[in-house]
Amino acid sequence: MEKYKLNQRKPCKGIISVLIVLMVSACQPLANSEEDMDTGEYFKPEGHVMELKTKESFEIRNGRIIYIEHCAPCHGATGKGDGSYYASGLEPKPRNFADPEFAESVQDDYLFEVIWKGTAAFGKSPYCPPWGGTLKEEEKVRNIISFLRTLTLHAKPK
Amino acid sequence: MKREEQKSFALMYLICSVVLVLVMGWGIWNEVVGKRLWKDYQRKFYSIIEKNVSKELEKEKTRFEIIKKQDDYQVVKRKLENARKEFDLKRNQNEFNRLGSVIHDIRDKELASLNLQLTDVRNKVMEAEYNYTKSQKEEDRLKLEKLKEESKELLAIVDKIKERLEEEQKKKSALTADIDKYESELLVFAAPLNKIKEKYASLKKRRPSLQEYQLHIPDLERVDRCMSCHLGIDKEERVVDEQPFKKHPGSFIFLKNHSLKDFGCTVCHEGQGRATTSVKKAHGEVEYWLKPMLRGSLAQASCKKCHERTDNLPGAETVSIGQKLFVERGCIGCHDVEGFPTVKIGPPLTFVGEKVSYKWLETWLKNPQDYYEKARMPNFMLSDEEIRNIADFFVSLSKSELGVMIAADPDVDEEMYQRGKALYNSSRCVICHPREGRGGAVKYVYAPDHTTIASKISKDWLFRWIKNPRSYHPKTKMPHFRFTDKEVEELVAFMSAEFIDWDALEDEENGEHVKAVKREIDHVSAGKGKKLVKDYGCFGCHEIKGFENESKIGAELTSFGAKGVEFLDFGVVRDIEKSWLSWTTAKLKDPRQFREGISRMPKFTLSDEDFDALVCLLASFKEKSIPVKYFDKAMTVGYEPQGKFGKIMKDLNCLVCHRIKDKGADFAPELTYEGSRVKREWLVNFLKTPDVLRPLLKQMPRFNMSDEEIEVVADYINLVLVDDHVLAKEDLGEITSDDVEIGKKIYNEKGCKACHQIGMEGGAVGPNLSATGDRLTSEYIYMHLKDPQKWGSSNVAPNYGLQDKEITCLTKYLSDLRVKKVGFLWKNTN
Repeated sequence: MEKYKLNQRKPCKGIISVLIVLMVSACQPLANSEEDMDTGEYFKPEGHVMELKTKESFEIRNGRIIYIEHCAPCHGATGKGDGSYYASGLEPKPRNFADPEFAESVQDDYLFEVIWKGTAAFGKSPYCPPWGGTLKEEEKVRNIISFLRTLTLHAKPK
Repeated sequence: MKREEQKSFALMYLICSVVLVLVMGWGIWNEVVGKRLWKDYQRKFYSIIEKNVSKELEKEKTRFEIIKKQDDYQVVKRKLENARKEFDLKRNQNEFNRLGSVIHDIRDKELASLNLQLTDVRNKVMEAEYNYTKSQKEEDRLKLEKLKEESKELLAIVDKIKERLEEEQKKKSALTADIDKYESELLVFAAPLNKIKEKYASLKKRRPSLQEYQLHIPDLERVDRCMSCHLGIDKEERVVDEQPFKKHPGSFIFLKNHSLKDFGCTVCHEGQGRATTSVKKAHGEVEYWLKPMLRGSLAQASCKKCHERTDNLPGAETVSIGQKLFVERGCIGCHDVEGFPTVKIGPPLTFVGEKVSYKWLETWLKNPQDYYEKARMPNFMLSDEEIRNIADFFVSLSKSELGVMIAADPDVDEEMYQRGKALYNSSRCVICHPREGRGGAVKYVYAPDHTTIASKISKDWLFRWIKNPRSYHPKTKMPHFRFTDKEVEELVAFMSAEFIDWDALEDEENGEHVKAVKREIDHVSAGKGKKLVKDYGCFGCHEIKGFENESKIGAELTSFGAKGVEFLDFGVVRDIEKSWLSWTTAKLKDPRQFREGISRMPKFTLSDEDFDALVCLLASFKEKSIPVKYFDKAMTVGYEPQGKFGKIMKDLNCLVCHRIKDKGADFAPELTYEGSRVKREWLVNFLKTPDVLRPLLKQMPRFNMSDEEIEVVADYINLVLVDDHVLAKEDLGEITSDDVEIGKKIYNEKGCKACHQIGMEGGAVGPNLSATGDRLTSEYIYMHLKDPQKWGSSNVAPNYGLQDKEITCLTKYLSDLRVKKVGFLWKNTN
């Protein structure tokens, strides 16, 4: 009769241990996925990732392209208001965007309005035209502003 | 010992069933919650929206509080209170009640019974009508007439009562009119607040259900579930600037032209669109998923799947820079890629021995960037001996001994020098050839720096080159200036004296450098050089005698972007990540690091951005399995003018700067509809002696064309390069001084002079307008002002959104600007 006893206990043990292994292993991916969310791994990808070294957000990249084409002739490539010889005779002089004081004093919405409607609409000189009809997309102007904000990044506030 | 059937298995069964229940519970839990990350994201997203709206609500509330304190609001409110008080007076209350009961009486008692009667009579009329039409008897007709009369009378009575009712109602509403008026006025103040309140309430009431969003695009064989987490991607409003809820940036380019419904996400961004159980899996950033997500601007590699041409394609800047570099830097010389025509970008080298000094050849081969930092030729990292071998070989192709007569000569005739200088300046060589870092405005023309050019090349060669560059290099971008021999001599004299490398001159023994140093060529060394030229594939970029039928030495790259990591040879390099991206970047930056001594790829000097752009292009080299309807085939006009004009155009290389019908470049104004744009008379004068229209670095030089040639060009432009759309506005009416004055006012008001010059005043972003009336057709001016982006040579000209009338006046003003009048006009402004 000893034989039966042995035979009966063995499968029972086996089932339980299999189940335990199953449960433990099943919990594994769960723990991982929670980690994904909590540690914000999403935002810091590493390994096996296709991303260029010189990463720059689309907003700033696109803003720069538009800025260089439309604004740089007067305001200069670095935003100092020194657009080579093009703007030498203008009075008042083109705005210096690299001036941190100016950057702090204006809100994005104000910049947007001025770029969209032109300086004349705000009682200033008529030299900066309304770009709304040319650029047509509001997002483009927002991109320019995103780029303008980067111009003062390296400047030290006085 | 109990018998088998007498034993109790209860405990075992209990344990088993508990475990079974637990496992089942866990299974359900895992299926519903554990594997559904997106549920948490969606909950978070909706709570953010709610938070945003509640914030907005708070803001609006405080704003409304301020409004409440303001005078306009208070005035209306007081008026409303007064009106209410007035209404509350007993007299008014009684009157209101009395009118109410009167109205009630009229409506319910008088009108109701009459209405019944009226319906009855009408029914009878209809019956009589039927009878009469059926029987056509006289008596029926009479009966009908009578009934009709009766109904008319009744109607008259009802109308009268209705009138009375209306009157009473008017009286009644007059009592409450003020209250209604002021209440609605107050409502205007509170309208924004109420709107947000409503929005908030509806959000609170019912959150959108949590669900998996899936896009199935059968044509592309894609199933994308990305939007299950990226909920804000196609929303109109920006919810939060944080992944995964960010709005798709630049949606005016991307989503607007590629609707999610037809394109999905992974066709551009790659990754594992179906996966939803983990962020890494969904992005395909797991080891065995072959197409990891393309992050950031690398996604532009996918533009090439459908767009045949990416130059000037908004949003595809990185990949189009990559493509430009790939062609301009001569990658094509060694690597075959389907769809890229083979072009030899370098000058022919068969006669280079007669062109440059041996010493310069050595310097150049050592490292081209050391001589000229914008040099396109990469550094082949040759040993000194290899350099000598190759130099010997090149010289041996055309000569039997070394040494040439170098142009550098400080003691030229002063008069010749001055005339050459004037010619050099008026020919605007500086537009393409930089000098001491200045000039060289045409970016895609890699003209040699002139600073020390005279110490590099032979005097004889310089003369022949300026005389006609094409006789030496048939594919050169340099125009064939029609100089006379005397003019060429003057130019050579000027350049010989001006562009000398003084350091080198001082280094050498007095004068010895200037004079030719003759030495026999070592033929053994030249033989070695020939083998090196073959090994390094110099013939990929240069025409070299004896190498006409060689095939490219590099690997074929047509499907390089799809290469798996296991196909990339990491060789001796161990410390970089085993991925396509890091291998490709490392290869481009230091091409021989993986297998030194075997790899022959030269080293390119590029900025990090440029390397990235090249990587982006390389990533786009994949098999294109896109259905035809998605394909954006490039317009292939294949503009190739024939005959006399075609010959002149090729000779002058017009398309190096100008664009005609999709061919050419954008440095100078587009000429596709030039014939409709400018007046012929002006054109002829301009080709003879180009007057200054633009900043000097953009000003067209004088090519010294013969009168006959100018006639050919002007005729061709006038007859062929026209566009009827420019002539849409046929008649502007007469130019009157009033209109001109209005136009002038607009010109000043809009600040045009910030960019344009009239007389001596104004900026130089746009062309000088002093003689616009002579230069441009008024039809073109009109169309240009109407839509400067479409009809104009630059994208910069702003669209002011002018009225037609304003445009007409401005056109008249500009058409009135002619050479003779400018002086007068200018005086007036002073």
